[in-house]
Amino acid sequence: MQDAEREMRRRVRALIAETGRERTRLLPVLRRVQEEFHHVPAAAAEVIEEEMLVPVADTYGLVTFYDLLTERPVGREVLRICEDAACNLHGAEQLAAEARRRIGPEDEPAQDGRISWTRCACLGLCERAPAALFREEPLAPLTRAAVERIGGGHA
Amino acid sequence: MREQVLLRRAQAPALDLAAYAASGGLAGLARARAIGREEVCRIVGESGLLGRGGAGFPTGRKWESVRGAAERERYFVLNADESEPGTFKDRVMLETDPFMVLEGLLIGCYAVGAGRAYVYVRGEYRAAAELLGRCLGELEAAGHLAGLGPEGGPLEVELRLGGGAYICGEETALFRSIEGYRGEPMSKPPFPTVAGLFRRPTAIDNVETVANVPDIVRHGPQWLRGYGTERSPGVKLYSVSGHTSRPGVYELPFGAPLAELLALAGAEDLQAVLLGGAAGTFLFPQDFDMPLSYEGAQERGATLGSGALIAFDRDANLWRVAERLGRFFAHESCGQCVPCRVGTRRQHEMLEALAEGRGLGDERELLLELAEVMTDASICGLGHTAAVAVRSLIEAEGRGLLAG
Repeated sequence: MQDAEREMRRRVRALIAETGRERTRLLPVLRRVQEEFHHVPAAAAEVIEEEMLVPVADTYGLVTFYDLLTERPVGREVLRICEDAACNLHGAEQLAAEARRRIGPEDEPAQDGRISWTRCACLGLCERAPAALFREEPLAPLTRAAVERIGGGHA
Repeated sequence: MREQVLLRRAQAPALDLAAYAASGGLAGLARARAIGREEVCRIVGESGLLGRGGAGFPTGRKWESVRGAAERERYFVLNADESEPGTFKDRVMLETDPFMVLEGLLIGCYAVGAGRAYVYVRGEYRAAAELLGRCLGELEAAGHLAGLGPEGGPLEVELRLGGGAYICGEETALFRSIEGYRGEPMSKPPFPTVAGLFRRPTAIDNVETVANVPDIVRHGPQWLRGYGTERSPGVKLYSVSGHTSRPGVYELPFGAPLAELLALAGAEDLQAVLLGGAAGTFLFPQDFDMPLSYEGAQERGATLGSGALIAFDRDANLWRVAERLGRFFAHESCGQCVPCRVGTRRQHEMLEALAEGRGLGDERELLLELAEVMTDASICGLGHTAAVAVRSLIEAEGRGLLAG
């Protein structure tokens, strides 16, 4: 086992110890794993099985169910662009296209893993459409200039 | 400007406990403790308060049912998993008057005899969740949770962040999510009041619903009936977005005409509105005189839903809008039952074809048939209502109401 993976397993154990071992803590644990590692690594699911007695299959089930959890690494910072009805009226599709041009393919980390972008369901920021979240903070209305800054590594 | 009830602190939010108490806060909780659980349930029941999350079920009936349960392990859940497209009123409520929501929650916990409560905030509302956590800490430190539990015991309130899944706003899916599973809805009955979170009696209410509770308990059952209509007492929050010059959250007493809301939000020269969110109905100018109340909407075959209103100007392609709604349902279907998992995908494909003008001609007929299957055979409300907006659009098109 490589040092990096050993360290990651140690960290996941610590997160579980802090968050709780009961099954009801599974989503909070997984959100913390995602926050630290920008995905839920297969090895984390193994640690969860050992520590929380949750089958690896169940962890996989949650990771593929919840939009904020991912199997593959996303950027350390994520730009989420709403693609639902109200934002669509205000040019969300064009902004997603701009993100593809400036940052790269959707869900693919760019700039050395610093950043990725994704389309998402309604963020509840419709009064500021077109809406986005960046670093979990509202970035609304999202503009082409903002996407350009993020894509250029200036935000 | 009409009197603002739920939004009365919106211009100058009371974000610390001292400010909240100074502006009349905590009087409802004090009165609740003085009159006892049974009386609180009676008052909330008599007030006629209906759930504001979309279904409109009488809140007092839920509370009375949990209060009277034989089992002593009971829960109260605050559903702050707001994710109906076009809906943001709960976020604004939480960010501008968090203590009023929490006071309503504490009164609810006390009323039903819950020893433990969960506040489930959608995962994307981090700022609102952090604010709620801080406010909850202040209430606890000041001793306001003490003795609210069963038989004067402790009450514990835990804050949970969702994982990004619309379906978790459905109550049984939300329970599964808290329990540590995929948020897949369960068949009802049994209803949550009988077998809810951890299969125990559970009261679960929307943010806007509990925000009404402190005033109701403080002023008595008749207070709410001072606003609104006979069958829809009180006021309602609306989230207005789309083609409008003043998008935002507006409060109106039930029964106010839809046109008044549109005027407030600066929505003019519209082709249509979508009222009630993704599972709502399209309404056209001929219906803008509709009274905004549960019964008023029902008479026109519409629904208030969560109070979301998206406005569309004459240039908007409503089939494109429907395609977005279709995509949303296909993405958010939990996949557990076939009618919804497959139905929402087929629906989206056909809506995409119609939006792009490459339909084969039989889509409308097939969409209506599919709507019937999803409504009849799905497990939960998502599948039951995934075709409501589409059906209303097809009907409106048949009556020649679409522009262009």
